[in-house]
Amino acid sequence: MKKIIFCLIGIALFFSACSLIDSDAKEISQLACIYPDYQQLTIPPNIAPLNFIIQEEGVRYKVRFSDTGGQNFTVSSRNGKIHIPLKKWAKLLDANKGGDITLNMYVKHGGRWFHYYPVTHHIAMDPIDPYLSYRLIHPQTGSWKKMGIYQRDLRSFKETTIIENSTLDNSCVNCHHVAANDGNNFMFHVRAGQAGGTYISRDDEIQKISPEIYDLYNSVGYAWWHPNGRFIVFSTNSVNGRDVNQQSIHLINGADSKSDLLVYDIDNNAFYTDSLVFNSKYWESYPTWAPDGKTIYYCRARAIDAKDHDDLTHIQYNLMKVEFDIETHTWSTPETVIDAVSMNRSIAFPRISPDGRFLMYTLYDYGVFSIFRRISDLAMYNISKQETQMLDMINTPETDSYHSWSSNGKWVVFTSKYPDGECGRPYIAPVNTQTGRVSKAFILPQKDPTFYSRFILSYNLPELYHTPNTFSPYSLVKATQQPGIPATVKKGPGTESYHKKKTEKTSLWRAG
Amino acid sequence: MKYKHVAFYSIIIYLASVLWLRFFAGHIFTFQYDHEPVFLFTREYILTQLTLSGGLSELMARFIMQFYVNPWLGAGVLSLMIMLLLVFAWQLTKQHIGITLLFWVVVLAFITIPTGNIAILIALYAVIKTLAVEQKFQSPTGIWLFRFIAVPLLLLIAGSWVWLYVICVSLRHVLQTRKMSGLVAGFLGASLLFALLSYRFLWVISPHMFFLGLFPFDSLTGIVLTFTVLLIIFYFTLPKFNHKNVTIIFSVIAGIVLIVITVINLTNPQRTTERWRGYLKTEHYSDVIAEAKKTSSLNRIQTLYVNYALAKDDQLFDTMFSFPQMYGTDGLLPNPHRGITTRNIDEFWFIGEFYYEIGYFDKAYRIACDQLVFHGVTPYYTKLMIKCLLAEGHVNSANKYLYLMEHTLFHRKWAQRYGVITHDQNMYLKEFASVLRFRSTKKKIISYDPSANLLTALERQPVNPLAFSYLCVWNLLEKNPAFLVDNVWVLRELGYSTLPRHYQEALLLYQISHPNETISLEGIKSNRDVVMEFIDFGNKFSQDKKPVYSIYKSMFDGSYLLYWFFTTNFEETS
Repeated sequence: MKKIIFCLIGIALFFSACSLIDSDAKEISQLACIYPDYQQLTIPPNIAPLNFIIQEEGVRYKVRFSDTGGQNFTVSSRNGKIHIPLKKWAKLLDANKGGDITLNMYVKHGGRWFHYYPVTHHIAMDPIDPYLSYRLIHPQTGSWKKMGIYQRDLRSFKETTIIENSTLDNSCVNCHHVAANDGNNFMFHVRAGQAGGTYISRDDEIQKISPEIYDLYNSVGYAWWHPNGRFIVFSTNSVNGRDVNQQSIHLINGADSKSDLLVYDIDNNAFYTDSLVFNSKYWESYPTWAPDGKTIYYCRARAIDAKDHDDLTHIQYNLMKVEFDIETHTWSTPETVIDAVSMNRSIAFPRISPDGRFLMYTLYDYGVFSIFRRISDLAMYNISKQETQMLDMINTPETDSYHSWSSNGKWVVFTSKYPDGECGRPYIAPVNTQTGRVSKAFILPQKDPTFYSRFILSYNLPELYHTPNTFSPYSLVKATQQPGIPATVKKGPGTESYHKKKTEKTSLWRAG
Repeated sequence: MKYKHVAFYSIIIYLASVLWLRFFAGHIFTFQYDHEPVFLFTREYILTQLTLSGGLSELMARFIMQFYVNPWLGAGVLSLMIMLLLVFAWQLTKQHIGITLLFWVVVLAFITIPTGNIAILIALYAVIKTLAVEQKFQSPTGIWLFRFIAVPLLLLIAGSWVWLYVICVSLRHVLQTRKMSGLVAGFLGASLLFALLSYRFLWVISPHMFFLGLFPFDSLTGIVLTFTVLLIIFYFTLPKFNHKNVTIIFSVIAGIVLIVITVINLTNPQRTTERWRGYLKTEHYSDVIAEAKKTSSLNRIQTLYVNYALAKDDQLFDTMFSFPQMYGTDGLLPNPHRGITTRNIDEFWFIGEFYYEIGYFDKAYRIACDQLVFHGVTPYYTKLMIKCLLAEGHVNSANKYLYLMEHTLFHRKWAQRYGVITHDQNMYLKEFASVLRFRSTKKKIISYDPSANLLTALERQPVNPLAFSYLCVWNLLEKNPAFLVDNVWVLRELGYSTLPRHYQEALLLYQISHPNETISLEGIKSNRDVVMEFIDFGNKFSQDKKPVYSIYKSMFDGSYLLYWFFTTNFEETS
């Protein structure tokens, strides 16, 4: 009985303290300075708590989370770090789908409480795909040692390892992609070493292939799965060199010596291509399959024999489309969708919304590494209206590049090097499916709100998906020990129509 | 033996270890301090390490290595660890002095390998201590219970060294009972299971890592260390030797090994290299030059350091060729990425420092980044990265690395000071004044070719003394005096009133081959002695049918002309 009385007294004191703050606190008509910038957002109903730190001077901090229905809870802190309880947060969001929640922030300073202008978040009706995969690597990618691909559960702070290169002789693991937002269909490449090859995982079965594209390429690069999960369109790139002729010390650039497109049939272990997309006149890269399963959007630049750094400025890609028939393996004539070159611009990473209405891409000035161009910004192309709008709500003064759609088309994740200009960070933004407009983006929440101010690795190639990747490290290791299945071109233009493999490196510039 | 005797001998061993390490193996402290990751007092760092098999020994090793910031402190802390290791080894060998002494010497030998991982010693300590503790158990139930608990703990602490313990206790049991009991089989099976769990079932990737991960089989000393440990354990397992004879034999071996490793350490060129780097860091350039004068031959890294010291002491143009330049431009400013397998970290230090000093922050940043990626958060390179980022105005990026430095024991104050610099414009300008004036804001390519980088730096700001002297000397080494002819005006801008010796020699050589050209000296006086020497050399050389290098060296020592005429292959002059 005594315990109950003490508890009741405690509860009464707690509520009286809260009400004391409310009534006595001095009102500040501006928003409190918080990090990360989680102010006035539209957020998915299934996102992990947006922990933040209040950067106002004070000795005590309180934040009351509430909704219009009377549900509320308070988080207190002595150092300004607001760690929101996961369950209470999830419950609050779930109860307010389509509505708003309010954050009242109180700071005690000089013996007095101050109440800042409340922050309101709108809770969207539609969830975001709950899994995000990304590669973590030091932003200076000229050299590497440890790197890996990881999977984050966006509903919590749980991060699991998909693959780490410590199990692969420290080889470079890169360019992963999931089929139709399904983490069970997952592919990635391992460069060099015994484990080198392209790994394709379908329903926990991992296949390792060793592409042999005539005598021109022995690996494939950027990939996109066909919606049916049986085909993958690849670009195959031969990187000529790197250049560090940039405004910032963080940046590098480079050029291909050649690149082309191929479609890979997983069931038949065969590549299909055509001189329309496999030729010496153009470099084809960054392919993506439209949801209709017929059209492939990709980027195309005029092939140049880049000899010095100034040649880099002439490497600019247009947005193209071509149709590929998966039954007959035939290609249509490529068409230009956006002529960026005429605007002295270049396009990379076209990504089509799941409803097929919009195409999001990176617009930058030149070169093959848009993620290292500070000028890179995101743009949205309305396919039916053939109109482009720059996504100014989410573009920053730093590099804004690689992006991925949620399976319901309501959310996108993209990497931005804002604010430090060095490390890519994953940002989430809501998309209006009618207009293609995006609203204010927010950085992927972390348990420790100061995480990004001290984390020295870069988030690379974020991909959203609804079903988690489940292949075990053991099955992966088993696959790495198998020899890669040679995969060759079954139908293509033949090498005679193509330039011969260059026996010597033509690179005149290299990263210092 | 009574405890006061143990304490007495421990102190003797401790002091002997401190003095030996400090005076015969001090270079390892410099080397490891510069190239090993620093211990970070952050939760994530500690937890990440602890989740790795053998992570605790790695963590403790890094904790100890942070004290290498001062060689005396480093020697003191390391000796403490050695002393404890010996006390337990001594207990384990039932107070066998001979084996303990041999073990001491072998441990000393092992830690004097610059890349020797002292985590191995900690792992050893854990195994030996566990064996020593095990002896105290009387009941078989107690002892087996202890063993089943010890294995997972040892996996956490010592990683693959656990197998030493597992094999040792199993063997001992089998030898004592003369049968392979189900208990032993169960113990072996359980150990394997614990290890699989510890390695997250990834052991199939690398059986070597699984069973021999921390075993130092990559060096002869490491192998000797391993066998000495096996000897101790063997002695522990089968204590049937004649105590007295074994003591004498092992004491003699220990003495011989100690003499050998002392001699090896004294003659180790790395010892000189690391000491010279210490001089350069503390701006004692004349000490490097003075020691180099007493050295008959220099290796490539030493040549780099001497040339740098000469440049900093403003002697490069005058006395550079008084020192052997047998590596050409590779001994001046090498390209650190010239080969896939080339990763000379002593060279990286110099290149990072050099490029920072000439205001070429991009290159210095990349050197520092490269080290960070390969070796982790090493104090020197992390600081270099911070300085480069701040010099370029990337405060947000720099803050990430400042955070790391703020969570170290010995670099916290440095980080706090630089943290202030990020907010204080006056302090910023004061701190970076010496390098900001050379900063290039022009578009540039960072090349693999060092001379191209020097040229780019000079295109922005020709009056860059270090970059200019290096590019001139580069051209001297490449026998291209034309560059020096074209840039006498820079010499004037740098305040020279008389032509430096090698510069003048280059101009004279150029004049000989271009008699119709007039070289403008921009008002700088020539040195008559250099002209006379040039004429003497020329006369003798033109008359000699078969010039002999040694004769010319005795007559014209330190002259560029020797290099010009006799160095066609860098090996020959050596």
